[in-house]
Amino acid sequence: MTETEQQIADYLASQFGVDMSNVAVDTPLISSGLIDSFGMVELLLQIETMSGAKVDPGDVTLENLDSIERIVGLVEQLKAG
Amino acid sequence: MIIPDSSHAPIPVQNATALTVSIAHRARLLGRETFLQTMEGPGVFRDTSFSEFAELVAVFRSWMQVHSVQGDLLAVAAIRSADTVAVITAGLLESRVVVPINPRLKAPQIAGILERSGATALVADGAVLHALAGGGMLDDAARERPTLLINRQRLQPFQRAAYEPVLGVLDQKHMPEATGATSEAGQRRPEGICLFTSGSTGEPKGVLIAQDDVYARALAEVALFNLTADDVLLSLLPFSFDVGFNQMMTALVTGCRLVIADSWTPKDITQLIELFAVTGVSCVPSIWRDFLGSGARLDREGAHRALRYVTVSGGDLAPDELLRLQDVLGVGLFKTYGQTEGFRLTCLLPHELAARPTSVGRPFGSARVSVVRDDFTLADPMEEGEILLAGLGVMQGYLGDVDTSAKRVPNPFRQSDADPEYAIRTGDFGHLDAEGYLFLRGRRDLMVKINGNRVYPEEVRRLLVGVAGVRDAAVVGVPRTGADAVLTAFLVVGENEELPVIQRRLRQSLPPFMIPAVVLLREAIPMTAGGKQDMGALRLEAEAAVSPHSPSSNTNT
Repeated sequence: MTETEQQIADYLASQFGVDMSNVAVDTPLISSGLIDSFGMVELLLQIETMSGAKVDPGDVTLENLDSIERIVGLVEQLKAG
Repeated sequence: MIIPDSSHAPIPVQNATALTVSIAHRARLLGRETFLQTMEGPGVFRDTSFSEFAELVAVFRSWMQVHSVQGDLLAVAAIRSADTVAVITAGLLESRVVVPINPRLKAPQIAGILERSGATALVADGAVLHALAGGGMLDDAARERPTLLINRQRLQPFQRAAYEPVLGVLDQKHMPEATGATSEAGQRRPEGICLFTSGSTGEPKGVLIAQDDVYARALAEVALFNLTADDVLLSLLPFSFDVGFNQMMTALVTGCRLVIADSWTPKDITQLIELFAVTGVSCVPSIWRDFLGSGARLDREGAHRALRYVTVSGGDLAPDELLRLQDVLGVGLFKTYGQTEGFRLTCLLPHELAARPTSVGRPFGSARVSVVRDDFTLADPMEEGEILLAGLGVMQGYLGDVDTSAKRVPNPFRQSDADPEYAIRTGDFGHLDAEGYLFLRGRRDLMVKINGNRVYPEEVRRLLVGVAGVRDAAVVGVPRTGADAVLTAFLVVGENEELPVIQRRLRQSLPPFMIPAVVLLREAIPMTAGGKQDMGALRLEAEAAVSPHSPSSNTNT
């Protein structure tokens, strides 16, 4: 895992109490039931903190949030502005 | 894809026997046409046809015949899916008491419900087993009772390795042939399902609903929303929540399509409505509030023209929010009110919204609603009292040795055998107007006195969300001995809003005794897994904020 991926994995483990030991970067997080959709609000705040940018409501989709890989993609997209 | 012709549609079914016949009938007539569509990941959908569904039900029935008997409690803790709908259906047909457990609960909560319910068998999926294993509770929960692993196509590789060997006997290939026979052993109970309420205080309680009431309630909703086999309903709420469960039942009894999705984001919901030509959505206020906040708007002339109605259930929105929501959705809003103990019993219809936006409407189906004084005599119109629910869908009682007598009382207005025997004391205060529309003030047990005024935190919350700049709010009244309670508000405010400005607006728009003494700003209001405000957590925070050791009131964190 890259540093950003690890950062997100650590965040998910501490915030949602998910056992991340077996979770790969492409493991579905929400559609597999590992984290719940309520968690998405907190996750968004974390993404905004990490990227320093505001997430557009149109970007808040399962598509952008369902795995560590996808979350990192969103963070980088936001960083790039 | 061929949309089922409604002329092929069987009439709605009223009991388990009729449902069995109806499922077989649909499987034969509509065979390969789609009944369930499940979102399994971003852009990934699985279709389940009527005949595939009938096969799943048959397989699960045969498992139940081997591993449980009639009247047994059968816990179902799994993400909503075709498997989950089929297991619940099989449980109803086999006269098990189905206990849907929200799979998003944490391990101790799931284990607690399993323990308290006395469930003799468990149906679970990888996510739930993972949560139980993470909490060190897998052995007690799953090995103590026969456990069926479902939603196997969604198992992650590490879950497959961990759980399949443990639960290897549950492989569907190794299951006995379905016989369709009904177990003779065991004691038949009238209950069809047991829903656990989260409850704002105390331990969750199992609410037992008779199987007849489960069907009757679904049929009442079919009539209310005018559902036919041509409808397409979007399922977003857990089956452990009466609104989500009932919506699923309406699809089952009418044979209309059910689209099951696990994302609550406004963008995803908008896309799902378009993609599947959804006609009805049942939702809780928090999801709609997000929808309003996102600036999303449906295109009723184009992409979203199939949509006929949405519901606001399990809570209320401010009048202004309801009207804005009706505007951005461009579709009729049904606002429903009920309790798990009494299901949904009143509804404000779309055309009634403009005239009475703060009402929760009138009873529908055979439900009866009365407002009573402390001595159980009927209150006059406009006179405030406790709301009693009777008739359709009312619970049989609580599971186990939880005292039911304070909640379920003999119906004080029973005149003949045709009248409901029992009524539910809702604990909610409110009044009926002269036309019979119900208005809620709040929970009696949460009511606090401030300067001699009765103040209901729920009523204050409704006023707060109507204040400019306030996006969401939660209110807790913290009682103090020898002094008035302290109203504590949690506010989510718009960007660039400042607390002093908001507080000035509060002083302008609320009566003095309703102005929260403590205001805490939050990024979001914490929610329970069922989609309601997490009042337990909020109460603890509020108590900490108003305790004498707290540095100051008006804390802004």
